[in-house]
Amino acid sequence: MKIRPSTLLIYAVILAVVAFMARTELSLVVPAIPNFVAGIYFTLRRRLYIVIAAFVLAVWALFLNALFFVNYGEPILVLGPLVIRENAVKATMIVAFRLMTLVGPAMIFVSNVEPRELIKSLERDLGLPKGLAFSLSLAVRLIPLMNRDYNEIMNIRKERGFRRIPITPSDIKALLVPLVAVGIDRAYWIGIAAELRGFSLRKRVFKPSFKLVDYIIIALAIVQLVIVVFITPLLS
Amino acid sequence: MLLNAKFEYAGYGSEGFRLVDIVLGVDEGSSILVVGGSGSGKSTLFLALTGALSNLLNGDVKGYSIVKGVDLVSTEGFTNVARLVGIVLQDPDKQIAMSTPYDEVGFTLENLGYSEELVRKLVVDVLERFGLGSKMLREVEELSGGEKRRLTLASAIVHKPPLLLFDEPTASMDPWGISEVRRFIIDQLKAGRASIVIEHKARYFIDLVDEIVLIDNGRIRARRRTSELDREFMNMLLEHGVDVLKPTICRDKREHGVGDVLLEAKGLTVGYDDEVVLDNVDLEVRRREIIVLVGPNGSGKTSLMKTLAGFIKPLGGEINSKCNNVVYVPQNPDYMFLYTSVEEELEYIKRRIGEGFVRKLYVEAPWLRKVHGLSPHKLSHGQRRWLALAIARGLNPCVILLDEPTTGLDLVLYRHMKEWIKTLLGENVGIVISTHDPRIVCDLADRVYMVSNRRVREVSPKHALEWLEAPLK
Repeated sequence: MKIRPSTLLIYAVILAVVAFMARTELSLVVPAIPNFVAGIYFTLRRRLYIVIAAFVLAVWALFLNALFFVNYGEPILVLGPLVIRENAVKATMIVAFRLMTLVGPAMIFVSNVEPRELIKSLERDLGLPKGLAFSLSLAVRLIPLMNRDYNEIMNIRKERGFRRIPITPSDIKALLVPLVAVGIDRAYWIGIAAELRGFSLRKRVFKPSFKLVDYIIIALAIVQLVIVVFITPLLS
Repeated sequence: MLLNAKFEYAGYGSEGFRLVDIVLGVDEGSSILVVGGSGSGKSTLFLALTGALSNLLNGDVKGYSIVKGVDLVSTEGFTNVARLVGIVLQDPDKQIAMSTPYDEVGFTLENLGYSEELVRKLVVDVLERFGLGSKMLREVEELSGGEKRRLTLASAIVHKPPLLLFDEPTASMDPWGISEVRRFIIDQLKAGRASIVIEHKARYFIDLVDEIVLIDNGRIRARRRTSELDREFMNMLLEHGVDVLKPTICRDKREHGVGDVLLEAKGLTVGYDDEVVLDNVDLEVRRREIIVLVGPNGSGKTSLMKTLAGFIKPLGGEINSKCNNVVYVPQNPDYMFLYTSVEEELEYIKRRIGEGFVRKLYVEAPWLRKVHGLSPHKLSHGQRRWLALAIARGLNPCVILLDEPTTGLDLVLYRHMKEWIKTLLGENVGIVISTHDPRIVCDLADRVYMVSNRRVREVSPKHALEWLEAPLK
C-alpha cells in the first residue's frame, strides 16, 4: 500500500490548520494523541530519539515560560515557595497538544517521503506550476552542494583564524559572502543549462492518480478538522 | 552545412566584452575545435552560438547561428535549441539540475514532450550504455567526478540532437575522464553528429577534429584544417596560451636545495567514520620541496591533504609537524575569500603578517590597484587563483597544500602559476600539490606520490607522467 506523497502533505497541512484553529486543551486532545502516536509508530526507525528529546525539551521550556508569564488562577500544586496554578498548566497543555498535532503528521511525512518523489507527486497530482516544481527539484539538488560549500568555507575559516561558530554580524557576513557567491555562480549556469535543454517548452503535468487509501487519509484529516472546529466547541 | 554562424558582434553591450567578426560553420559528421586563452571569448562564443546570449542574458548580438535552418539567435528559433543542440558544460555541478541520474537524463525528454513510457525506455537505455544503470536512482552527489561527467554526456545525446557543443569538457577531469570524453566524441562523429569543442587544452582533441579555430580578444585570429597543420600555426597557438604540447620530463635536476623535514605522516589512515580511504600512508615534506600527488578522481588525494591540514581527523597513524602552520588551498579559490572586497582581503593579510608583505604583493601584481574595490569573486580566474595563494602566503605557512591549483588555467596562466609556486619555494615553505595535470609533474615535482587503491606510494616523475598519459594513447 503506497500512499502518495501529496496525500501525506495534504494531511500534514490540514492537521496544521487544525492545530492552530483549536482553542481548548479538550479539543486538541482528539487530534494530538492519535497523530503523535502514529508519528512515533511510523518513524520508529528514523532517529526517533532526537524527536522525542526535542519534544520533551520544548514542553519543559513551554512550562517554564508559562510559569513566568501566565501563572495565575487556582493553585494546583504547591512546592515550597513555588505555586503552580491552573492557567500555567492549561497553557502548557494547549501548546504541547498543538505541538503534538503538528509534529506527528510532520514526522510521518518527513520520514516516508523522498523529496524527489514529493516534487513529482505535487507536479502530477496537484498540478504544481513547472517553475515552482523545478525550483523545488533544484533545491533538493543544491542542498548537498551547499553543504559541501559550507564545510569547505568552515575549514577555511578555521585556517584563517576566524571564529568556528559565527556570532557577530561580520562573522555571519564572512560566512555568507563566499557561500552566496559560489551558490549564485552555480545557479546561474544551471539555469542557462536548463533553458538550453528546453525548460521553456516544458508543459504543466496534471494527471492526478489518487487511490482509495489516499482519499481515506484526506477524509480522516477533514473529519478531525470538523470535530475540532465544529463539534468540540459545542460540547464545551 | 549543419551550423552556419556569423556574428558581426556579440557581447554584453558596447562597453563590455564583445566577439567581433566571427564566422563558423560545421558540416554533419564533422567537428571543429575552438581554442584560445583565458578571457579570449570562448565562453561568450558558446553562449552566442546557442542563442543564450541574446535570449537569456540580454546580450547585444548582431548576427545569426543557424542550425538546420533554425536561427537560434532569434527568439522563435531559440525555442528549438534543445532539439537541435546537445550541450556539455565545463563543470558537471554547474549543469546537473536534478537530484538523480534518472531525472537528469529524463529532464530534456520531458521538456520536449516525450511520452512517459518513451522517457523511461530512453533514459534506462542511455544510462545502461554509459555505465550508470545501477545508479539511476541514487543521489547525484553519490556519483564520482567521472560518473557525473558521463551523466552530462548521456543527457546531451539522449534526444539525439544533430549538433553537440562542448564548453571545456576536460576541466578538472582525470586522464580517464578525458579519455571517456574523447571516446564519446569519436562515437558521436561516427553516428553522424557534428561537434564543436571549445577548449584550451587543444592537445586532447587535435586528432579528432577537422578544423582548429583560434580566437583571441573576441576575434578569430587564425584557423586551419587539421590536415594542414604546420609549425607556424602550432607556435601561434602556444603563444596564445593554448596547450598543444605533450608534456615531457624537462627538469632533471633540482634547482633548489631542499631543507629539513617540516611535515611527516607515519602509518597514516585517512577516512571518514568507518570508511577507510587511504591506509598506511608514509610521507614527508621538506623545506623548499615540491611533492606532487597524482591519482584518479576520488582516489583520496583531497582527503589526504585535508587530513594533513587538520580538517579531517586521522583514523590511525600519526602526523608530526615541525611548525603550526600547514595551510590548505582548495581547488575552488572562491572558498578562500571571506571578505567582500579585495581591499579587505589585503587588510586582513596586513593584519596577519605586516605591511611589508602587502607592499611586496603590490609589486608582484600591479593590477591589484585597479581591482581594490571589487569583490574577489568578480576577479578573473587567474586573479582569483593568485589572490587565494596570496592569502595562503599571508598566513605565514611552513607547508602549503595546493589542491588542483591549475584547473581551468590556460598555458599563459599556468606559467604564471608556476612562477608563483617557485616564489613560495623562495619563502622557505614545503609544498604539496594534488593534481591530474602532467605539466606539474614535468615542471615542478621534486618527488611524486601515486594515490590509488587505498595506497600512497612514491614513483618517479617519469613513471607518473607515463601513467597520466596512458589512458590517452
